Amino acid sequence: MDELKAARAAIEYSAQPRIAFFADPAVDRVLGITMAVAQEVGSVLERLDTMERLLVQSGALQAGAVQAYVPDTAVAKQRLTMQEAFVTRLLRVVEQELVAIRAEQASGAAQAGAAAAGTRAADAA
Amino acid sequence: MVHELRHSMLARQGADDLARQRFVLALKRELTGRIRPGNQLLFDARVAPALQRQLRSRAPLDREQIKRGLQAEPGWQTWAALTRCSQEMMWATVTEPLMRDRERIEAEGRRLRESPTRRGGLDLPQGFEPPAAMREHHVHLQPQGYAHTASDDDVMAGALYEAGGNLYSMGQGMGGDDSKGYAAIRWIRAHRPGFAPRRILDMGCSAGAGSVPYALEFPDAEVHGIDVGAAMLRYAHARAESLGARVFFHQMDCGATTFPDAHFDLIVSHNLFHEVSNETRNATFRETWRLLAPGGLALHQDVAIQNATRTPFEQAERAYDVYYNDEPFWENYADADIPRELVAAGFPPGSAHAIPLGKVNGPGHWFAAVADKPRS
Repeated sequence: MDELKAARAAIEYSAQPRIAFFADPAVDRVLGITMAVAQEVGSVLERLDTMERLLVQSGALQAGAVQAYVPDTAVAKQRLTMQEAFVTRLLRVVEQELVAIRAEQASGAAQAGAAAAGTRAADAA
Repeated sequence: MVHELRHSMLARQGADDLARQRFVLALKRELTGRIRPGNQLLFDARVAPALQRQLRSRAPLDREQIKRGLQAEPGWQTWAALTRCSQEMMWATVTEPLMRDRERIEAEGRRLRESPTRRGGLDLPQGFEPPAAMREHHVHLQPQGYAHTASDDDVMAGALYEAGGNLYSMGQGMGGDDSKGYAAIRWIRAHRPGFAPRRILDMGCSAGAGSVPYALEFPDAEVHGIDVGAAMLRYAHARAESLGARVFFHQMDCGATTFPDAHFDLIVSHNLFHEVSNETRNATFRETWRLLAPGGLALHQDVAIQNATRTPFEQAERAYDVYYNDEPFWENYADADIPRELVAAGFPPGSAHAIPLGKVNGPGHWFAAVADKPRS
């Protein structure tokens, strides 16, 4: 069974009745998703640690070199952009709510503008 | 994972599987060791004063009042939600490698059970129905429940029990190599020197982790394990064979076995009673009395959660497992006076005692009730 099929089969096999501990069950849901993300971060941490250890073992990397690495100005700038893109993706839902409000405001303003223009046109006629 | 015992029935796991399991373990340790103790703090600082204001009384609060108070406390809600989440994650995390490796594990189980050099045996009587409670409740939230059996080769209930159980115990702070069986054997060696049982019965043996040590430590004895789930027992048998242990597994209800009278010199159980009803527990004690040979010993080990020694807050806080870990009989067991019930089942007054049973590797101790059947 491949990775994706096993992950889906495990989720189906281990399904439990949902229990809401908080007044709003949405909080329970968000907590569950957050902890799943945290688990994957924990797994990424281990993978990086493995890579570093294997590289040190093979002689491609000196022990402590990753921790001691200081990026030059250009790399530091690229990294900041990378982190900003990450944070933007992370806060997608917050950002998209603002996008929706702005769109509503814009369409409201456009309608008001159109209505005002219509009034003016009527006045002129 | 992380368990020192290796055998061929365990799922093959990759680095990512083990990393995800370590995350669950770290989460459980944090919740048990650092967040859960805060429930007492929340109770003293917020829940108790609020309840007393609401009831307009300074009288001591009872267990049920405290339960309701805790459930309304945001800090408790956070701990409980995370604890439930960690348990669900634990199962999903150990289920995934089992799903990936399921065909190989089932084939390996078949090979071990049918091997011409097998040492033990498996007895699954036609038409046996596991008790309703074991089918309806998914104890510890184990996927599909302990008694679930999907096919004639199915071993998932046992495989999950072992994989999840190891992770769960370690999350409670126990060492990976802690063994309830060895804890009991150590006590028997210290307190009944020279005791050489001919036949040993492990009641409610689940995946057989408790039964195997008896077979290895008492090689001259015939060891039998009973439980109610076919897939669980199939796994237990294959696992024992893989470890070179001679154990005979039977699908039987521990409150109504089909063994003859006085058949066993040693009868044990490990963490059984907090998962069975009052009726089953007392029927099991009557069976213990009936099945023990004169001069025989019973040692029933379980979790040390006796309510007689706990404050109402501790009792209420512990009830989490009843409601959210699908262990409906946890509270019945904690309220019970086990030595008194053993006497009611037939043991002479003074022959049954509750003892603290030291763990092999872990903090605190287990509860055990030991009872001797007189020689005449």
